Amino acid sequence: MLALLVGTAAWLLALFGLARLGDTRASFRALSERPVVYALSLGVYATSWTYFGAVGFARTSGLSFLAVSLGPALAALLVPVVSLPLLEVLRRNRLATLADLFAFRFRSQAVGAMTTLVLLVSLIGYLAVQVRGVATTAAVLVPGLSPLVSGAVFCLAMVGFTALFGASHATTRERHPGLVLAIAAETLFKVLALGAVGVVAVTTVPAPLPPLPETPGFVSVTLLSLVAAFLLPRQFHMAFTEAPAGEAGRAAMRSSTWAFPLVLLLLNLPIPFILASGTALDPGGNADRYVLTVAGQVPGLSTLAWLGGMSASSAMVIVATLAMSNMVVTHWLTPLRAAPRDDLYGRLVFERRVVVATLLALAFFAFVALEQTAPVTTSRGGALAQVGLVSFAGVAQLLPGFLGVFGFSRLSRRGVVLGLGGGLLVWLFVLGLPLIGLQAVSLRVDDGLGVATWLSLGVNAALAGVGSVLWPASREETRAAEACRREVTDDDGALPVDQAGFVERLTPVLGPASAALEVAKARAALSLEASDTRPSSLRRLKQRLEADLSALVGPMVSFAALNVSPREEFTGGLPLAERIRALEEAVARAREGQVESAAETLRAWLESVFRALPVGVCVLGPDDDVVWWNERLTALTGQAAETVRGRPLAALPDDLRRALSSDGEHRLSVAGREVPVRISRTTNTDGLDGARIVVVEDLSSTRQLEAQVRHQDRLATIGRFAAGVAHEVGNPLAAVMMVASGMERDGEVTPERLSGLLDAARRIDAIVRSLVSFARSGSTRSDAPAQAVSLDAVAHQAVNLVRLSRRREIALEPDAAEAIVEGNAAELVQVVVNLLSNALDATPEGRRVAVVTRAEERAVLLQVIDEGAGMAADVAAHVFDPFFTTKDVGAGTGLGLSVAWTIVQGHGGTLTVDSTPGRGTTMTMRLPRAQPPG
Amino acid sequence: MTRAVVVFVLAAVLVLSPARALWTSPASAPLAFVVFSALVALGAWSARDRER
Repeated sequence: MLALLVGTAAWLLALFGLARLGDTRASFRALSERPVVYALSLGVYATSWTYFGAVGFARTSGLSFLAVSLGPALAALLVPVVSLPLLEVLRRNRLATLADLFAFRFRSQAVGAMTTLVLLVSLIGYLAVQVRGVATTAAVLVPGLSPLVSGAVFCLAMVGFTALFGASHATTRERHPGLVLAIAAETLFKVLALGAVGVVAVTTVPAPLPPLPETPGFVSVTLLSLVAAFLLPRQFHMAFTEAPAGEAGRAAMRSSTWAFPLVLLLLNLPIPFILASGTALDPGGNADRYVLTVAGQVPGLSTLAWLGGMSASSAMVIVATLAMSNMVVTHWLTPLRAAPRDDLYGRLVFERRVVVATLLALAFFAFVALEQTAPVTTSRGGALAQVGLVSFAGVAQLLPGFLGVFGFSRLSRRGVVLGLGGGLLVWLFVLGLPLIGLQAVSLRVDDGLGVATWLSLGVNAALAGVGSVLWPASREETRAAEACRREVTDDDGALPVDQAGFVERLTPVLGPASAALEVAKARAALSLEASDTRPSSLRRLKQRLEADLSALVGPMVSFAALNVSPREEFTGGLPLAERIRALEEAVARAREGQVESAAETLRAWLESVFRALPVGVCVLGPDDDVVWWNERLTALTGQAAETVRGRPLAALPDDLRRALSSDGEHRLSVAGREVPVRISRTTNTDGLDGARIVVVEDLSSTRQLEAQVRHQDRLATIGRFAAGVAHEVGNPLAAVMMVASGMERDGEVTPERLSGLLDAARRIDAIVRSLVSFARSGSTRSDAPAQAVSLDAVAHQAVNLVRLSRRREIALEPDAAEAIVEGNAAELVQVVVNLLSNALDATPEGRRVAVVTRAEERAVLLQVIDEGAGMAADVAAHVFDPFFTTKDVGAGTGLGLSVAWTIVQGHGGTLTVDSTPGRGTTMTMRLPRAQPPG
Repeated sequence: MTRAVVVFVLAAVLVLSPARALWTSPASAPLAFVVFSALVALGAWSARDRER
């Protein structure tokens, strides 16, 4: 007796201490997030049924005892397919329990309440079995100890632990690191304790395995266990609600694919050996007690073995009652009760603790009833497993609705409620009531578990289907089904026109003052202005309000209050104002120093980065409303961010709207001047929720620089022409001087002489004019208005200019007299001069150099053809690069063709090169043909 | 994801198909634990999948 008391006290103290450290010390909190701890915490699945009852189950049902663990092992293999996507759904929508998930999926408070009822009814018996496992085995160790007394003490201890370390937060999404550590430690302890008993069985009482019975129902038990691994409240709570945050949770979950089955394997390994030894020691005894029977062969081991069993029971009781208390408070009490006058945060915690105590009281009374209807003393074993499997069958009634989370979008809320009701009734009559001696239907559980399970599930699924046909899923339900598969955003139709609209929606539920207060708090948390009416801001505000309230009062209360017809959902005048305000305060307190503030910091930092970018950036939402607009873009466009953000793209000025709608270069009108810009839009919107980033680059300085380069190139060309010009001007000048000298000497002015003088002067004038025209056209302005230009005239002028410096034959073959282009004539002359200069450089004397023009339907071509040295492909590929030249140092700058290419691009044309080494080169300028007026 | 589905189908066939009679007969307890170990190994292989 003393050893049992001391051992129990020490174990409980250790458990409480570990839980306390997990809640208060950062290092222990970090430990609770390790994958191995996560996998061990999933070991909450193994209760006293597995610990004590597996031996009895093996005696009565053969290897079916292993099926109870093979089911969860199969479920673990579904982690990437089911658990990880489900984790995302739960996190995205801040859902904590199965009832939350169902209520969210089917947008129904009734579904949440019904889910809670099914789980509660199914689990009371299971809880009672845990109490029974602890109490009756304690009586084995301490003869004379009343199971009722030990059961009551166990229940009280569990109420204390769960109240302190489980039901201690108002929000159901809150993680409990201390609880996780305690549950993991309990799993480790029961694995070691059962392993120690197995070793004793092998070494101290070695015996052959007795003949095992056949395994009827193996498949049913495996499938039931597989389903239970997802739908048991304790498994759901440890797997999803207590999963570490962020990527650590996903990593831990992935590791559990093998780690959790390994824990189950280790727990099952000693069972056959304990059964063999127990049968040898006590052939007619209750096999559910063989663990203690075998442990009794070694002094002190009995207490350790019993503590292992108590660990198994207590872990299940703590987590199951915690999960159920969350569901009962959220889905039963919150929608029914009026708002409390005092602090609701404390009220919620208090209510959860009361529910935990109530559940354990019910479990205790059910344990008493079980003792009276089926005393352990009359059993040969298997009783624990029997109750457990019946409980699994009850929980499995949630399967149709659970599948609705992953598909079956036509499954409706009324169908699910109908199905759950029908399935629960069948389960009660066929499986549940017979457990407490009320045999309504003559199906024996040992033989008919599978039949009864599939019967109840069949009725459930059929009614769900019929109900969904009779009352089809609403738009909200379909939308919720979609939200379970991917993140969906509200359409603007679900949004009010301004923030006051939220106040209006909440007023029937909260009252005007509190509604305004709630909206103001959410607005402050998001750093929004009160006048902000942008759809994106309203959407964020609504999601914030809904998500915060969802974690506290369930998804339906928050959804109904913020979305549609709150009056219909909350008839009977249930003022929620005080409650929700207190909840918000609790959220604000919980938020301090935690993840959300880190997220806000990161968001503010990214915002600063956006502001500081030297290029204009805007983000367009999926519906083409402006979500983001940085300061550089304001300077570039003259549109202030405050006025633009949230407005649809169509509401912007025409030129701006057109520019932001397509990639490429555009001109924007800003304060009476034209600004050239280049627009680049993201093509891949993965991870952007359908948003598109648009980068706007100011090309003004680039264009100015290009114009300067062109001007410099022209001046350099004129410099090269200087010698030729002197020669060309010198000849007529000599003629003038000769005629003038003759006139002076003879004193005779004849019409022939005057005509000769005028001819020579006109020739000089033509040369000077063409040169001045070429030079003056080289102003640095890049935005000179376009004019109609004849490429034939351009070719003529360019050939004449080049001939000033090059005494070479240049064939001119104009064939586009009627075709004109729009552009700057001087710049186009510069292009042809540059092309001709290069052609002449590359072509030896006597070889042909020609300028050809040709008109096409939509374009006009000008080609400079030479029969020079030609270029290799790798040289031709770089001829338009700035500073690329094959000429000797000092003979060329490498800018000529680059400038030519830039000018042609600026005219909307193309400049291409076609060259064959040894045969010559053809440079082709293709410009769009100007449309004739009218 | 593909590997996870393949692994689950393999495991389900191993545990639930009529072939289970090979290791669920009353005299096959050791073999049953071998099958259980195979599930653990399959889980480990599935967890190593980087393509998700």
